[in-house]
Amino acid sequence: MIELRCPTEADTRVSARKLAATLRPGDVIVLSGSLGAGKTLFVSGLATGLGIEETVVSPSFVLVRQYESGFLPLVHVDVYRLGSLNEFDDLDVFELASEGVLVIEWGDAIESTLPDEYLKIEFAVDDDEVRTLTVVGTGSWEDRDLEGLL
Amino acid sequence: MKFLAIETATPGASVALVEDATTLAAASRIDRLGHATFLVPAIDFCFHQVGWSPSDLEAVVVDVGPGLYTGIRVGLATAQGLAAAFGIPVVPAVSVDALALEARTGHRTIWTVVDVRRGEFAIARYRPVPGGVVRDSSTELVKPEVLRAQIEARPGQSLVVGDVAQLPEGLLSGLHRAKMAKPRYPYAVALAEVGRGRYERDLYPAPDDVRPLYLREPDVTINWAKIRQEGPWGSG
Repeated sequence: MIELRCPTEADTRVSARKLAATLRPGDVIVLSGSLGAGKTLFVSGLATGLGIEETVVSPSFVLVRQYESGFLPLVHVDVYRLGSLNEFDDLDVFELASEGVLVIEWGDAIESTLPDEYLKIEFAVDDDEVRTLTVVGTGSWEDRDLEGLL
Repeated sequence: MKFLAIETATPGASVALVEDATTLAAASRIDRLGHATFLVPAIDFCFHQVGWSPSDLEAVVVDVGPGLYTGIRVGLATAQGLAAAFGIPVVPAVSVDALALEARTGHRTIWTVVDVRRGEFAIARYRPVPGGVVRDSSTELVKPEVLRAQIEARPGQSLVVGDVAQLPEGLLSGLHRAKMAKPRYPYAVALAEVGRGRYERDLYPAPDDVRPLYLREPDVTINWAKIRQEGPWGSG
């Protein structure tokens, strides 16, 4: 487990860009934390790091957005508006993202349907608006070097 | 009897126009995604080749799974659209049955394997009979080790068909009484055969009542109130 302290939006973006450099096809990243904690901003930084040219827009209303212009395809999902696990399954996002990177906002809500291996990033905001990102990997993520993110 | 068979439950998508037991035209494509772009042009191609129009159809047979969620929905939505437009029935057939029908064996127990992703496989067991196969088990979703254990526990010789290549490497090695064989994916022509049997015995519901067979876990409502109150992962 590592903790990333991000006092500014730029810091959040830099952390995301560093993570992007380590990603491989099939990676699943799960983001959790309250509204406005910086999850979509993080995905935007991730997209920049993957060489994606399009602007990342929150997928809250369309549920899923796909970006194809980078080194790896990026599939960005937000489950905040879903009511049940079957609704999540119906999106079939693991299939959609099997050759790229899948990022799931509010993924803690659908934890039981997640694969064995994923990177979990929890966003916390303190009273001074400083974000702390807690990064925990499961499965093969435990063997991957995340120290570079610090 | 004239009908269309739609098979999109696995990476091997295919369609066929069949009259009684004769396949008049078929088209197929192996592609993990993209069933939606293949399906309607392929159906159109088959109609052109045969000289039929959709109004000639008496029924549409469709693979309702188990298999790939998106593929199944693409196939079922297309079948239901045709049914609504032309007032014909939708006959559901299952992927594992279509696989078993094409397994070539006279005496071996047949196991069919369909990859449903996330480390799980839909499996079913059959025995060959003159002119076809008989299913001896329900269709279930299992982890690969369970499939191996079931084959191992079964006396006599076995034939494993379906997407065996997606099983973990070496999973079935050392099972001397078991043999791997084609087909890898269910084919619309075999699906049509399964569907024809069901159609002739009136074994199909109203078109709108045909549902995908995902075999997934029972639905669970997301408890948002709890998540928002307790914070991420129930930690806060």
